[in-house]
Amino acid sequence: MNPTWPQYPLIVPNAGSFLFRGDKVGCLLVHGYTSSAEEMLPLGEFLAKQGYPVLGIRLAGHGTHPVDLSRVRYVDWLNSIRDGHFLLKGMVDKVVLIGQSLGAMLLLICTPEISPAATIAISTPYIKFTLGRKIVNRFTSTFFPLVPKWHLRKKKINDIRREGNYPAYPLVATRSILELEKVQGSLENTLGDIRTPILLIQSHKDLTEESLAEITTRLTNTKYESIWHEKLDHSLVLDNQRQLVFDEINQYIRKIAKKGGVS
Amino acid sequence: MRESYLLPTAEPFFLPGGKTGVLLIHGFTGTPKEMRWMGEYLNKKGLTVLGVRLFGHASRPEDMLRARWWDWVASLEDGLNMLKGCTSDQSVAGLSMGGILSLIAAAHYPVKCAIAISTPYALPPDPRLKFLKIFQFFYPRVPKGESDFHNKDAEKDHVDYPYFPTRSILQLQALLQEMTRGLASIKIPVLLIQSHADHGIPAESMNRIYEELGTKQKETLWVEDSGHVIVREPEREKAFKATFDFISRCTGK
Repeated sequence: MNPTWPQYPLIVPNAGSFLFRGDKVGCLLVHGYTSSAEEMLPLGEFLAKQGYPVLGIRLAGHGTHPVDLSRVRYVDWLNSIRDGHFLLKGMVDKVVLIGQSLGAMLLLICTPEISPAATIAISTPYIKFTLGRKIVNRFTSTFFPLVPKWHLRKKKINDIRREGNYPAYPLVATRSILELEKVQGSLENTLGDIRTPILLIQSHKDLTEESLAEITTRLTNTKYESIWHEKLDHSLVLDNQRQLVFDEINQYIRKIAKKGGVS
Repeated sequence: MRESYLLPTAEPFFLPGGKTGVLLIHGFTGTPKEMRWMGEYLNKKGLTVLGVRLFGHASRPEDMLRARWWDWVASLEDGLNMLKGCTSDQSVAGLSMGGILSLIAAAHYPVKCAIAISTPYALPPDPRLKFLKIFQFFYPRVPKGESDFHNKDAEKDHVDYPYFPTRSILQLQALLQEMTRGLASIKIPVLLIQSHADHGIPAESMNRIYEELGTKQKETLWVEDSGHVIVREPEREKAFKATFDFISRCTGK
């Protein structure tokens, strides 16, 4: 064990859960895979300024050390979201769920259980795990527990807890990819149970229309809207042009709130 | 599809109030429900209260097997981070393992004061403790001893795990070591509460912690008609009042 460990705070600065008060419909924000609550912080601050109570949750295993991510299972992620929902319920009755990438997948899974005013899924992947890929995943998770992210493979990793100026681990804990497989399976099973409105926001640079269609064709019991951007990166909420996305989210929540009769 | 869920009524809670925030932390294999009455009392007095759920708790006992002691510290940090966004100062109060975490928070985070209730200084003397690392494979579950509840109604609707996962006891042990390492460096006011009728922790726990605390502002409160879970016992109001008065004094309000 590293003699200087543990270093307090254990959670990387800003990467932890955040909570802002407000008096309108509540917003639960969930970040993406290997990232941390910091990813959703700019959106959270924007929404709080509009008067919404905001809670950005840190998913279990994120924002501390990549090794922690290899230990968590996908039910821990779902429980993190449930935590956030119950805490937010202390302030408001109605909530809107807003998730990015893995966060969006997890929120869609939780949507039938929470029955929110709406779910906003940003950059939601629909990952096809083929048999070959599943075998490779099991191989790497057994023999290579931590693998540098592909775009960082040639760079020297200075801080194992944070990827330079992007709020995420520079490495992937390969065991957690097996949990992504389970999330994907669970997502396929739950999409048909969703009865509350859905807004899908994504960028052509990141996702294909076919990938999104996999999701929308399964949303058989609810109405959905989808917004496409052209040049934004996968992490829409951190992109330089994120204000576009923020405004769309704000407008959508207002519309939902008006319709649902909640202020 | 519900493969797992949080135990009903045992979910984490947030009770918005004034600018003074207090984080409530439950005990080992316990749930935020234990702290709820305390939370409601403090909230009625005008505090903002957040009852956090520790990693692996309030769902299924097997979820706890994955927890390492620093996951519980991270849960505590999450709670403090959330309170920071909506209050001007934060205090921590915890029961049993929550008390251990409160003292860790007192040593390492900018909190105003800490209240540790029924907090052990060490695990009860048991010769088997030395062999836990091996025992965990043969005896994955340690049964809970007879309850020491004085309030039988509270005992009926108490929600917790039915046994101690052996592996988690090792983590509790490590957490205790982390607490004792930090005791001398604590500089903020600390209130310790313990019951004479507590069967769960060694009787001298409070005195040992009191002696090792680095702070000069340290107070103790003994209660009589309570078991380990003081916050759900007949004398809870006494502990709640002492907690509220202590927080008010420390935050200067």
